[in-house]
Amino acid sequence: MALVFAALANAGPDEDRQALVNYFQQRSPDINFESYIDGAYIYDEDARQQWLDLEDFPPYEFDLEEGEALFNTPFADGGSYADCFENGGIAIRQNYPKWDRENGRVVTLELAINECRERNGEQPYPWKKGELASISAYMAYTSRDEVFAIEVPGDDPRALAAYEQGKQFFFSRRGQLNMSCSSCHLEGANVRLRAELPGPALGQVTHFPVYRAKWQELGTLHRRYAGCNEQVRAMPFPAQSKQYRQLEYFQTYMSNGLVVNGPSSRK
Amino acid sequence: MTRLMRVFLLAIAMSGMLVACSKQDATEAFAPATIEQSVADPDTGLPEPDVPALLKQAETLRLQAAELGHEWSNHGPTILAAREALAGGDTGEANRLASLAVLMGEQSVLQAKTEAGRWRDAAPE
Repeated sequence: MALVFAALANAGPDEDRQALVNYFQQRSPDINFESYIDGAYIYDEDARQQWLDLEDFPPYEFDLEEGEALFNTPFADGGSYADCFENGGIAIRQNYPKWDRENGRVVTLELAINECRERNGEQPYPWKKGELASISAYMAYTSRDEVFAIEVPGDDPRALAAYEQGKQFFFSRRGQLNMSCSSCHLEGANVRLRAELPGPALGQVTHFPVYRAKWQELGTLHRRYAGCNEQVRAMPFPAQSKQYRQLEYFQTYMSNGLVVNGPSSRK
Repeated sequence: MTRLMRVFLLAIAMSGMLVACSKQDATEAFAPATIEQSVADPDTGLPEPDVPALLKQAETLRLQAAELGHEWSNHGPTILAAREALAGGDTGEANRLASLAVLMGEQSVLQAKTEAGRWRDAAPE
């Protein structure tokens, strides 16, 4: 196991991902790789059944409808979201976040949506919930079952540096409770934290945006990041900050090979 | 008392002392020396604290931790509470909170520097 972690700590993106897959397969040999899109529900059958029942009439259904309507509403200048994205914005979630070679930065789907709005003379939406989360949810919905294929271009060292920064964030302890993302979602996955079971890092981002019972509404991945940081008494970073975009880059790359199953519902 | 008996009683006494010492060590080693507990009691008769200086130090450390990406979410509120206590004339409470804020700042900066060199080894054995 130490060798697995050593590989994860020092290798390139492909080796990192394979080491992560191997780690979870060694810990839970009976759980298929494809199942990791369901997060902590792969560990608790009772919770899984409740969640599946909930998904029969998903609480994000109205958000999806709103997202579709917003997505298809032309901007005041006549442009549309479809003009801003490849394939008209349909079935593309699996390619985000992507490396923006021109500007040397990580671009998440939510960032691309708001930048599309601004290019067409519209005000950007708030990052964590509301219309932006609904549009992102609709775009994820059109991408369901598409396989994540995040790229870290090998010919641009800035991309690898951004990926490495995201990896460093994931493994760095922070906050007064001195905990890292990996504390809960790697070694802490499937280990009780009071009444909760933290989900595995593998497949952790495939189902976002999510409707959380705690929020009673839909929210974006960066909203969840901020919540995690607050829970360990670390000052959260702003949504779509460089730190969170790089973290999402690393985490989503780790989920390459899994399918999009967002939006989803969580406790 | 035979020599054998004296040796036996001495051995019992020494083992009792060893147990007591080891318990004391264990207590000290595992006692959660929380930041709250390690702040000096303001009612001990120590010289009047320089709370403004402590607050300045705490704020400098907070900014340093933030620059390193490791600011603690309860650090700023602790500094604010210390300022409010000072403004309200409660010097003792202001000193306690400002001292706590300095320790929080030192710990968060230490965390940032430690993690910068440790994160690659984050994996458990």
